[in-house]
Amino acid sequence: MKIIEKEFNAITGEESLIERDATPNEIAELKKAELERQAIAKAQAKSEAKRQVALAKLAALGLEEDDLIALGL
Amino acid sequence: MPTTSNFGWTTPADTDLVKDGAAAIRTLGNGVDASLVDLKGGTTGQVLSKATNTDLDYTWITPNVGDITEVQAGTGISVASGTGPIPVVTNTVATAFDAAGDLVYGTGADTFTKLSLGVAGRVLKVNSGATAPEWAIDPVADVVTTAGDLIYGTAADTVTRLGLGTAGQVLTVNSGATAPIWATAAGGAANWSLLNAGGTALTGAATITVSGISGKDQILIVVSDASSANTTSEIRIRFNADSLNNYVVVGANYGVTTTYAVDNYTDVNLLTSSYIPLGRMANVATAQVSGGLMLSGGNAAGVKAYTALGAGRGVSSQQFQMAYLTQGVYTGSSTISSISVLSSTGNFDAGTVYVYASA
Repeated sequence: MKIIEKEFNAITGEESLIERDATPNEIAELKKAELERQAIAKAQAKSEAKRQVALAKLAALGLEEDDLIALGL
Repeated sequence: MPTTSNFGWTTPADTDLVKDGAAAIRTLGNGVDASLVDLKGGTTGQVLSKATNTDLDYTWITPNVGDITEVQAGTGISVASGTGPIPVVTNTVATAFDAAGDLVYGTGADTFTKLSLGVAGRVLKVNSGATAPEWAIDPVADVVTTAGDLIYGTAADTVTRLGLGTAGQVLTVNSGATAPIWATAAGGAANWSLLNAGGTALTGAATITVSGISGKDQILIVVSDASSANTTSEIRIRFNADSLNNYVVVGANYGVTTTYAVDNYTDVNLLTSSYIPLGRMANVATAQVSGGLMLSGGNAAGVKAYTALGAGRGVSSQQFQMAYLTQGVYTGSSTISSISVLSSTGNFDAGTVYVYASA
């Protein structure tokens, strides 16, 4: 697995792109981060689906989300 | 009456009568007898010695016992032709000197050797075995070159110079604990400056490094509006590109999820982390994280202490951003030469990192 790193040298003022092999720790971190990102996306999608169902039920009762906020819910 | 030419003894004249010859011979004999009277006498072994300056005025004397008949070599003395006729006596101490500046010193009872002149500026001292004198470096003449120089030892019997430091520096011990050095006084007034003028854009890679850091004890990293191409990316900090588990991270974490949970607000207790987290973006690609990290001890071999805080910006109808308030240490032994800002997932696509530092 390759890591692309941008480096700015504060002495020379030069900026360069470096491609290097990821360290074992970096590989583990990237895999973990990607799994977390996918889990979050899944959780948020599930939450959003529940929200839409709830909004539909409110609409059937002639209510809106703002009505619940006004009631302090 | 005629006389002899040297001693004036009376002799007969040529015209005297033969009959007077006996008397004339007796007169001459008496004159000779009187003149040589000093030759009479003496004893065996005696020698004649002039008694006065008068002619034929001698006396018999006994020669002094112990008169020099041979000269022999002694300590510091050599002799050639000791029995004569002309002995040559030489002072061997004197001949030990071969050149101007030579010194002669004793090596034992009745023995000596030469110490040739040292080079310019050397001084005479006793050698390490305390057995002989030797020429040695004069710290003043041979080491000091410039006003303000200090002399310190580099090993047994060896010295070198330490040039004067700059204004305000103090004398301290180097990182290897091997020599004194001039260094900026710890605890002195901080003098901060921005190392990467205008900041470094957080774009085009998942790791953005600012290198070329040197001699900085305190470092402040400011991350402004960092954004990743991926959602919920966590923004992290590393030093010296060190991805090993050399970071101790403890503190607080506040995360927003879809619903309230007791661990929305919790502790952070990472004693062997491979990075320091600043904050996590919300679940949208345009989300951002801002934060900062202050590190102390960056120019020393010991652990570096830091305080970090940051948070993902709240975005309408999106969740999962996180805030961190942590402290800890970086245990790497190298002085800080670079800092890196990392996106845990996806390349950076916006934001700026500013690196301030003070010696």
